[in-house]
Amino acid sequence: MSSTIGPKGPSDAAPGRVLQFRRPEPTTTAAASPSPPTAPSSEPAPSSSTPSQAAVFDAVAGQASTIAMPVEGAALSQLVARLRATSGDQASVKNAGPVIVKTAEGPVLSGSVTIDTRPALHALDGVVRVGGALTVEGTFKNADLLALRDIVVVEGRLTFESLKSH
Amino acid sequence: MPLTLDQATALEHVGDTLYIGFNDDLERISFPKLKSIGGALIIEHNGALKEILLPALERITKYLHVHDNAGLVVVELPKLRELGGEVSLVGNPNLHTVKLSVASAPAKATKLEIKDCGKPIYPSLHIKVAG
Repeated sequence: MSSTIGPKGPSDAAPGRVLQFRRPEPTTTAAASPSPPTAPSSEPAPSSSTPSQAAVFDAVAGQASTIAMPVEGAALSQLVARLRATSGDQASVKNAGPVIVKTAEGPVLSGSVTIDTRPALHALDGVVRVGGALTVEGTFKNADLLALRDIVVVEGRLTFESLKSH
Repeated sequence: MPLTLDQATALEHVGDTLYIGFNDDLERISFPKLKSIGGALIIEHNGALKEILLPALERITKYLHVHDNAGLVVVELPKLRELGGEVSLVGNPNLHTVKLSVASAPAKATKLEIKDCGKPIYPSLHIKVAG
């Protein structure tokens, strides 16, 4: 399990540095979609002239260590700052999929998403824009669909398919 | 309890196709503020659907297909002004009211196809080819 945080911009103090960190719990509020922790890493970590404990790479096994260490202290602060800078303070992290980003116009769902459960539908409550395609399918009540009431723009395809009443 | 799809009261723009299909319990479709669709509008195989109400829709970049909605009675798109492709109303045996007016459809693309619909009572069906 590894995640690579590469340079995101000129503010990145350590371009190319590889941090391995403990994936935050799903309830963590930050704003990023780091690489899925279960995704295999087929490429070795970039070399660093001063590898830290957080940049452990098991060259013999040919894969990154599962978890080298949790991100703490300055590294954690740096990571959180970077995530906030790129995605907004209140966005929630689930997986590497779509992320809800707080913007001036309101919450925006980045990327495409398929909604097929009531909790997932309710997560759209308040969202004003969907940055990709939105598909809604499954079994719902009319009241559940009120979660769509604030959406002004869907930038991609909008699909309602196989809807059934609860 | 039948479903209605009229909760998205703020929706104004869909960047690509709007597809509504195979929804067995859906009775009503209404997007009161929807003005533009960047792709096609396809509404098909919604057996319980009775109404399609899109009172603010002005532009469909591609085509309009309303197919095989057995219970459909009313289609209203009174403000539609731009349409990039054909209008196809097929297999809606109870459809008797269509309010649709297209003033600026491209000549080459536009075709009006109405088949297997209810006894035609189309109080406001005007396809004006601008090209």
